[in-house]
Amino acid sequence: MSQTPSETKPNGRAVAAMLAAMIGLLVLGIVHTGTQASSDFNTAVFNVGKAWIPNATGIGPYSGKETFMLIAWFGSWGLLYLSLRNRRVNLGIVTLIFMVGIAVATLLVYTPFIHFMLSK
Amino acid sequence: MREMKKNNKEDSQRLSDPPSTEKVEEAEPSPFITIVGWAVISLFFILLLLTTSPFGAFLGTSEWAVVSALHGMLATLGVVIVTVVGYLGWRLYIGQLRAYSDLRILSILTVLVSAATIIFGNWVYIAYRSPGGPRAYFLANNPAIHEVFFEFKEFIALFTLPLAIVAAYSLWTYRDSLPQNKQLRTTITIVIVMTWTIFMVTYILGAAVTKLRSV
Repeated sequence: MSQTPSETKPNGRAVAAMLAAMIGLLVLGIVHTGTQASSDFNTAVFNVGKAWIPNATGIGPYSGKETFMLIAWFGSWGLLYLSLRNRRVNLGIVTLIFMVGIAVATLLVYTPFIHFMLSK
Repeated sequence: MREMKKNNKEDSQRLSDPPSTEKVEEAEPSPFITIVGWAVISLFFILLLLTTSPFGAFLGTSEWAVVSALHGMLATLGVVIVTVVGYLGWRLYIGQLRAYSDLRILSILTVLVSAATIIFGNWVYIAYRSPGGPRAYFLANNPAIHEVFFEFKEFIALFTLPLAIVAAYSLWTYRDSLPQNKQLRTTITIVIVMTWTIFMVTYILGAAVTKLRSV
């Protein structure tokens, strides 16, 4: 028996997963750009990674950038899940926001774009 | 004489009748036997290769040879799996997918392979950054390779995991309603296509950098 749209599960859970992934990747891009702009921030990010990742010294500030990404991703997923799980959201708009967000995150890890932004 | 005629008639009828489907199915090996047979034969040839060929020389003499080989093999496996997922995602988009369970299982495999490739990538990155490693070589000889291509590759590789998880999570959470929900099918297909594209870009850049200077 086919289900009508009103009978299907609310799409809020999928939306929460998508937005959380986008937020995590945007944070990764922002933190990476920040480390390129400031050596002090770069050191701080490195220290965060060293706090928990084994052999983090070997991979440098990358460890801290991964850490910030994971915290932003899973933290925002938890919050978004709780607030959106039973809601029906306009998926078309969310998908558009998601695609733009991922595109911006991609630019923020692309060195020529970072140099252009920081006027290096 | 009558008995002989009867037997001949039965024989000729048996020969002219097409074999029944049940008999054909009975004659075919089960999927389990096929997979086990394939695994046993593969294992035999792998053992033969490992014991009779200088496999160590094939990997190289670097202390990172095994780790980097595993990173590359996982990435290659990931490319294969995510390509199949991409095809099934296209079928999902146009509403002609029948193998929903295959797509769901492969979406989980994509997540696992992506995670494993990233973990091994982190590991081998230590060698890349070590004094005298590929990074030092590129910065001394051709900085753009590290600053533009490798740096982009190392970050974009991380994108594959959240994207693959979004696709897998949505496919599993909405497995009952997905055939009727075109909008969600379209969104999941977009996520799958993004995952495939980023996986391919990462793979190509990784292979190109390794070709220029490996750990």
